[in-house]
Amino acid sequence: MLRYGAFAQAALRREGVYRVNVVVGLLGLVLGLYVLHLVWTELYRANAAVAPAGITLPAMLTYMVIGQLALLVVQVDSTPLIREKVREGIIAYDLLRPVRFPLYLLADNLGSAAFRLLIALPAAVLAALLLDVQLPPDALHVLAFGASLGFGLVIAFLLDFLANLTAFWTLETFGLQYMLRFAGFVLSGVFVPLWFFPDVWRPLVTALPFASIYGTPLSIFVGRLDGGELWSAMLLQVTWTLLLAGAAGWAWSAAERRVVVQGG
Amino acid sequence: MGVECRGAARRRSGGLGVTLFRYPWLFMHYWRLSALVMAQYPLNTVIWLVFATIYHLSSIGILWAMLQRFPVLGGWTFPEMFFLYALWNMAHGLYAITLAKVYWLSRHVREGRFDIFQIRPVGALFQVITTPEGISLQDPLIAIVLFVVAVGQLHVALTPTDFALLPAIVVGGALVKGGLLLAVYALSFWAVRMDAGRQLLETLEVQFVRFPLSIYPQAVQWFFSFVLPFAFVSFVPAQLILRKDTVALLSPQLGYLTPAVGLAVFAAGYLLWRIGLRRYESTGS
Repeated sequence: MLRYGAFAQAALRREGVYRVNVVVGLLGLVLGLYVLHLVWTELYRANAAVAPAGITLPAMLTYMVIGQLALLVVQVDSTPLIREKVREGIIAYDLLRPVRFPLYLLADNLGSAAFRLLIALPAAVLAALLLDVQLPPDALHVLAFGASLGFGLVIAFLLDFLANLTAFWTLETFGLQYMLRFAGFVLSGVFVPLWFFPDVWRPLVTALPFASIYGTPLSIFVGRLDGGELWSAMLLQVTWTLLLAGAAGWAWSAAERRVVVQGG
Repeated sequence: MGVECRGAARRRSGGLGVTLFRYPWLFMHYWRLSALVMAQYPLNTVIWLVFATIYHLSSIGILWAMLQRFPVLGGWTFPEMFFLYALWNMAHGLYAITLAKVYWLSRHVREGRFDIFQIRPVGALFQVITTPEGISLQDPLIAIVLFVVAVGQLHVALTPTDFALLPAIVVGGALVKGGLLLAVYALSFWAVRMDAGRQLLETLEVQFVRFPLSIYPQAVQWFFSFVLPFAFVSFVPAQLILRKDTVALLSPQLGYLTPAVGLAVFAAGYLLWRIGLRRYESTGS
């Protein structure tokens, strides 16, 4: 376990080296927040009569700000390394090392996410001061949000991992991985909360794993999920985590076997 | 690039007439080669096609989801914003297969290849934008399909005049985008690395162009009309075509000016490029 901690630490330090990327990324984040802030304010201003009951503008703006910061943290990705190593044929060495490669990737992801968190936390404080962000209703919601976002991070990792694992069969994964990611932009509720979706679509969209990445933690943060609803949403997150982890484990051993067959 | 090399000894020759015919011909050649490369890797091509389609669908999907419970944004309905996006994407599609490769300039300069470009018998800029790195011919294809869908779901029908105007608008929009990129990269003759500048330009464009300009404060509207005139790529001509008037600063009639604005921005970028080129000194390696 200790060595995976070291991998995570190395990833954290590495992220700090690319300063220009960090600055441009932050600038993009600020601009994006500014634009979305204007968009939601204008939507509520122009449509006061039809604004959905129960979701006030401050709650919506909070959801949006925390959502963009969560995106910054969760959208880290170490798994393209699988594709690169498979293409170059050096994946075999990773199989020989006394380290389980999938766990190494997970540790790397968590380390990068920790670095992003170091940026996101002060940004969240700043946003709370400047943008009138509302805090969660009580301590339970704060804790549940943290745990829920953790599950979201792992689910996002598992989806990326599964997408990149196809490299063992196809060599090309970029398209598949980004398809999942872009579909997630709409279906996870990170840009538009799922409760704004038409009634026909909502049950289906809420059940997909994407909703467990951002939709659930963010809904908890703004106090939209309460009591039984909160627990069942988190139970769904746990279910998706277990299901996807099982699938990832099974797919990984299939991939390992395939390398052995190829390598002769 | 054998075609160009063969003429190297003759240096630059021929008048304007020759140039006018030669460059489109060379460009066709470049596109043909790109198409052949794409045909060589069919799976890759299909994956990219699906990837790009999903990308645009997700951008439009976000707009769609936003406008489920709220009917209008800044005076624009969802079908109109879909059209706005599709029009921008048409300009982007043309730009992607013509001027987008300007960003290779800093690599060519840094790695010393740019010196060779100077002694070949075609313009250096042309050689930069035809850098043989896989270009995405699927971008304009998707743009056209998306545009047809966008027009189909509008509540108003486009007139023949609109359709006649469309090519000029798309070319104008692509020139605005290309001219701005060229201006940014011309600066790389002074300061070698401009890739952060390009990222900034793209971030500004992607963040602001998706939504109608009417939701922004006046200073921002002014900025995107006169400093980085992205407003002329899609917002202003879309106002003209949809007969909307949602920004006091920009009357819909200005949509007729899109081609002129495109030419002006591109001319400014090209001028900066020429000045920079005269200043250019090799990295010397």
